[in-house]
Amino acid sequence: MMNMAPTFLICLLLFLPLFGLGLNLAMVSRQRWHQPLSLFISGLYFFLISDITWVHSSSNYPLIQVGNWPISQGISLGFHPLSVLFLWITGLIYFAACLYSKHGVTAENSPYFFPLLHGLFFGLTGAFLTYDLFNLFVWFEITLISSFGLFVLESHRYRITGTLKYILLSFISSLIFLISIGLIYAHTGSLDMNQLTDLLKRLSDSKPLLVTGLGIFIALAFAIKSALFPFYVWLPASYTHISPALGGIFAGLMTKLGLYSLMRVNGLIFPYNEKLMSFILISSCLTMLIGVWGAIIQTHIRKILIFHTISQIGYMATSVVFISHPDQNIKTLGIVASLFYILQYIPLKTNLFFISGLIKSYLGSENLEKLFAIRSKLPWIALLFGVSALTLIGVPPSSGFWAKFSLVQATLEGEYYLTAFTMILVSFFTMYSMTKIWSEGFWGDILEEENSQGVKLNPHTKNYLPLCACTLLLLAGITFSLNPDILREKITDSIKFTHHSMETKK
Amino acid sequence: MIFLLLIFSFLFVGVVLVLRKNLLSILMGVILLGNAANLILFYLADPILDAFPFVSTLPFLTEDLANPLPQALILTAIVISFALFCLVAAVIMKLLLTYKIKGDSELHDEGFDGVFK
Repeated sequence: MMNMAPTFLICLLLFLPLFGLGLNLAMVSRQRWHQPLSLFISGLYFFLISDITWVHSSSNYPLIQVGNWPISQGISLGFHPLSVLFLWITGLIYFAACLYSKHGVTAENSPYFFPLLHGLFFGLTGAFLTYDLFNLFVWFEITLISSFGLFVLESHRYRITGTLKYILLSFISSLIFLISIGLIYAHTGSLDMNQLTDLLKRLSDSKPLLVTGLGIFIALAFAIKSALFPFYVWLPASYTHISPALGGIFAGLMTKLGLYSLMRVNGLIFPYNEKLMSFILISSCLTMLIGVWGAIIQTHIRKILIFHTISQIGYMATSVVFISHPDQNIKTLGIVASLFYILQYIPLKTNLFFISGLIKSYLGSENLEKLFAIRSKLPWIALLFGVSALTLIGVPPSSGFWAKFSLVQATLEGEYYLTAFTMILVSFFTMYSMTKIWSEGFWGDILEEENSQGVKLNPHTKNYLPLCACTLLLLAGITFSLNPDILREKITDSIKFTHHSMETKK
Repeated sequence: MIFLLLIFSFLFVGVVLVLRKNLLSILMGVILLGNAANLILFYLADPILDAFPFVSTLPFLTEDLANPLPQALILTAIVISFALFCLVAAVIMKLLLTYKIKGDSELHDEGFDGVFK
């Protein structure tokens, strides 16, 4: 891999999922070839991006000007220090998702599942690679349209109605995004993110209110996409009815695309704006509380996880405040903490969804009122779930603890006392509902169950591949738990690079 | 001026239609809003309405050149909003024909356990 031209490598990252889409679509009638082919493609993707992230420094890779257009007119593609680790996580989830989605067991039965899955990751890769605002919109739409396709793969009344709500809200946020892109282009004459940083700073000197308005408008679009407080309603309505493999990818990775764009556009491109940032802080506190309160009354494992997803988005949204903070010290502290939080969280959340899907495929149910004594029936799954749940709560040696600890430290440093208090409070509520899953679903003696009317273990399901996927994701989590400095150093390096590139531009 | 009038009427009618109960009017609202956004994008880029967005040696073309970039953007946006419209149409057709749902009051999620045991 070392000798390949960097330009070729970046194109290859984009090309691989697209190739997977085409190949699987061409072989749509030969369904048993889908998983091996997808595994090969996603494995190659994961290998490439791991090589770029951990072995070589991504800062050595130049920007590509697509079609050799000048910067203000053409599209630039390349690794941004913020996006490299996101891309690595995308690769990890891509591989794990292909490993997990076994036809007829844990995923949908439709032959269009794998093609659309590749389409989804094609969009995600493009969105993380692009340096152009309009191009970001296009990648967003590719991701969304693939996800709409995945939503309606299997027809069920609640699933279709959930999809309609999801499509309409995504559509509205795309409209807002598109109009704000038009406004930004009209006032600055460029859509290149690197140029926009300077152009908007200059514009905010002469017209501060206009730039504030633009920032709020575009933040609105991303807030809908990432399910922040007033706009979170579509998430539980639509994510509850899809298969666990999809739920894991969407809740773990896809909603974070909205957060990434919020960080990239409102954090790095727009100048620091105190009013918008305090609004985001309030909204993130409310998101944390509402999500976790919603989780308390649920009795269905995956629905509890979905409400936790909303609550965790609140934690991560504080990253937007930190990344644009004018105080350099708070900025560095905060951005390292919140990026660490996001990166350790994505594989964890996906894993919890995958495990709930495994429970469903083994026991035929995910309802806590029917589940009983998973601990003695499926010890390996109980172990996987237990470790992931403890990490999500943030029990000391786990990566969740390091993430929450440094995030609370950063919020205290920035004197956002209310946010820090909410973070700690919400952790307790999270612990409460995780304890509920554990004590009702996993605890219990297997002998007692024979008298009760619990669900029986399905003896014919032997699927090692899905288990491997869960174990792989757990291994990533454990690595970050035992050696959090690997990730921390990587993030600190990339942050240094951000400052450096900004200084050299000036 | 005509442009602005067009944009605002599209936006107004689109919002009114999307907020109505009937699923088919939601569908119409979606396409109107999508086109309103495309028109806004076009208008904001300050188009010279008589000019062409490309350089030409033909004698009858005007001298001044329109900015080609916004037009390229709108071309992409039109394709995307059309794809979205088709998808919404398919979903609404499914709801209308298979599940006999006509208004949005029937879209509520009554029971979760009924779906996933």
